[in-house]
Amino acid sequence: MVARIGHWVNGKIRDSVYAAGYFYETIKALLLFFRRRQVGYKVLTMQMLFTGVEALGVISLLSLSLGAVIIIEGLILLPQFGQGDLIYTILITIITRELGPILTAFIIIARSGTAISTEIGNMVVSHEIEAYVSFGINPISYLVVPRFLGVTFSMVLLNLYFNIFGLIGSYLLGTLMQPIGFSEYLNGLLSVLTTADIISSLGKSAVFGMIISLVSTYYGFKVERATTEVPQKAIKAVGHSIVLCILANVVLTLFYYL
Amino acid sequence: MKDAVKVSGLRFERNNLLILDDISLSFPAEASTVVMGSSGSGKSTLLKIAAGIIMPDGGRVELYGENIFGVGEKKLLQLQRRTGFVFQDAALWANMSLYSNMEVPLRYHYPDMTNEEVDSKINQLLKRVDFREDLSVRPAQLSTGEQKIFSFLRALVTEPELVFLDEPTTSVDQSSADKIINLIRKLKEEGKTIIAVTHSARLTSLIADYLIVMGEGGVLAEGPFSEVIRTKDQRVADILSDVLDMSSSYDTDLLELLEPEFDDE
Amino acid sequence: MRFRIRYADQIVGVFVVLAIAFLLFILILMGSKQRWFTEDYFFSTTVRTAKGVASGMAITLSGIEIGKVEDVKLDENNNVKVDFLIFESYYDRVKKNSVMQLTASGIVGKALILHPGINNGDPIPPNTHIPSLDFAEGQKLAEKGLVTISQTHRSERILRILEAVEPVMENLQVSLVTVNEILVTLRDALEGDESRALGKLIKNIDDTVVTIDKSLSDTTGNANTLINNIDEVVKNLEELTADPEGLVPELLGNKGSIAKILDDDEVLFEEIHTILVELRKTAEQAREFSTYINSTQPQVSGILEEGRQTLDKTKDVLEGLRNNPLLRGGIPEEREQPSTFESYRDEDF
Repeated sequence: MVARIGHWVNGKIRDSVYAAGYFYETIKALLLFFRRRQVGYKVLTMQMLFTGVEALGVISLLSLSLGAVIIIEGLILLPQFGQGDLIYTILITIITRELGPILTAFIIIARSGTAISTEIGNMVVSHEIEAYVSFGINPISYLVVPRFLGVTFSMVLLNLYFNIFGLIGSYLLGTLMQPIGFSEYLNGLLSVLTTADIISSLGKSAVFGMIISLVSTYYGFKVERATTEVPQKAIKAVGHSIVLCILANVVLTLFYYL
Repeated sequence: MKDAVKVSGLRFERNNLLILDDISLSFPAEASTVVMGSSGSGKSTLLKIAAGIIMPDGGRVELYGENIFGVGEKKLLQLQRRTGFVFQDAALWANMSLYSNMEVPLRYHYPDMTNEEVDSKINQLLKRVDFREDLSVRPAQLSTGEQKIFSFLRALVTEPELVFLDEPTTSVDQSSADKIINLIRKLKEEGKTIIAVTHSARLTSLIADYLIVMGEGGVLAEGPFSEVIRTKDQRVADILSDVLDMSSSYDTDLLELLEPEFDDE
Repeated sequence: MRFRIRYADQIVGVFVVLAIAFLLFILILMGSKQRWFTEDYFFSTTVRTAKGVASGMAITLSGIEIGKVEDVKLDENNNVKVDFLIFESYYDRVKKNSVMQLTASGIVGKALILHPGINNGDPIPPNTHIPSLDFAEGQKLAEKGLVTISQTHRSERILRILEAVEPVMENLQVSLVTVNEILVTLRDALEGDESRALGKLIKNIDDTVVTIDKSLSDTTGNANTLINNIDEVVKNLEELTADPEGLVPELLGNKGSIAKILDDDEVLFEEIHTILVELRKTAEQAREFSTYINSTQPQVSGILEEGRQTLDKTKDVLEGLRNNPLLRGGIPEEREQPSTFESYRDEDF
């Protein structure tokens, strides 16, 4: 029993050290990425196309409906307590600061996190990674860094779009139910919105992007030889991404209030 | 003769299974060395370690006198520009067009190359085997044989001096195998160093200057081809006949089978 | 799919540029709204209470926001020191002799008002202490006429009038209840069973009359106070109405805050006025009634009936006033209650 616990702890420590090393290598390669003119840019563009542009539809739908629900509920409920102006605070808190980043992260985990870990897992199985190494192409700098940057940039940009649709688009939906003047609405939002909100929101999405890309690529590379490992690692990547994003969200929210 | 690759004290284990145990070998430059051995004897692993693709758990690999796992990134890139590796399963990058499969390593090694230079380089390579497929398609649209040929060409894109071949002729049709063998012979004629793992008696007899025979976890015989095939060591003889069974009949004499033949052209 | 891959660079470019443009747009809007690009000038004042004062609260002049409260804290004399800032564009209004005034809470909201000093000189330097009307220093400046007391703060006066009317109304209400009780007692006495002893009945009447007398003298006192109060109210109101730039036009004009809420073509004002005038009449009647009842006690029941009607009327007025001033209008229609004392009216005592 004790031996088994010891073995388990040993394994966890080894994994953690390996993961830390992986993170370190990625950051090192990241710094070199911009210095070197190389083919990685194309991978970056494609990653942003797949992760960012192609997720726009689902992100916009989600944020539109969320924003509209908040506006409609808020306009009906809040004036009953004489707190009609709270709607703007609620919108900024939910759309900009809290749900915007985390919901975008969940969508990216579901779409791109799984895709990345599956793709890399399959590349390992079909020796494509070894083919890169055989040419002296570092898989971290060629495969991980562009995905890291692509997912992180896409997360930040998608979060901005989440805000566009959630705050502006949902206004249009809300007015169908209850007309409000646009300038009044915009003024209300702008008087509540602070730079700290924007920094917190963008900071969160950037951190989530880093977590998702690192965890997904990490588990992709954890595949050793069999195709059956690929979905197993993809599931692990999703689970760990979600847990780490939620933990990071808590930590970053605490930072906001410090 | 100068060694292209020299390995010493190699140890490699996977999932608590010892695959290579204290292997020390040298591969002479500008000569062809064929590695033979029974399945699971670690030939492919040895080849990948020698090419610097897999890191061993112990031991040292010298490529042109440099410790490949100890040099800096820049030096490593230079060393790997001098080598090419042909994988057993082609290992073409599935998410890229054929053209990109060629282009990526070229651009990685020569970032200042113009589009025209890249184009002409790729076309020149394709002419070697008269490869006429549309380069905008993905590798999955090629037949297995074509994939293998294309993968071979890709390995040559950086004009390496040393080519590692991992089962270059297995699981391909006869005509593709012929094309590949011709390619290898041309490379040999050009004076390139070839290190090949193969089961093919024909390929071996055509190119082998040196022969290495591997059994369970170790090297059973190594040396000039003609010496090794005349070995009195029963284990070596058994392994050779086992391996070569796949490409010949029982009746054929081992020596006869492996006797160099140059009447192929 | 092919299209997307071929034009990946362009599509991703548009995706990035739009998002960044949106971010910049919002930042610029935020900056102008939150005045990132303008300078603020800091001042302080001292008020008696921090009730209704919070950081972020607006500093106003003629109802326009010209600054914000930054910080509220106790000073060494346990008064409240309010640090505030004035926006760059309004800094030139902060002349010498300016005073601050903290308005009471109410329909016009809580606000700290700047009354600019009457002075043609330069604005006073930043970080200066500006006196408030809560303390002698500020009040003196106002008395000397060194400061423009802006129109907006007169809204204060109607609020105070309305606040003053409230206890008077309550007083009147209490008096009415007392009189009503007496009436009920009297009615019971007059309609008394045959079984009751006459002496008892007479005693009851006696007691009742004493009570009535006492109550009525109380009522007279109350009514007198009330009439005085109401006189003042009406006078104030008339004064306000007469002032062409005064509170009433302010309140009822297009930009007035109440008009904005109610937008009722002066109906509110008319109503308040009518109610107050009516209240005055009612009180007059109450006074007449009480004087009369003092001199003619034998005709008590008839008078009581008259009193009851008067009181009912008063009640209506009160109801109207209570329901009204700002939100609900009018006097509820009340069903006429048939009097039980009709027969006594015609009789001569």
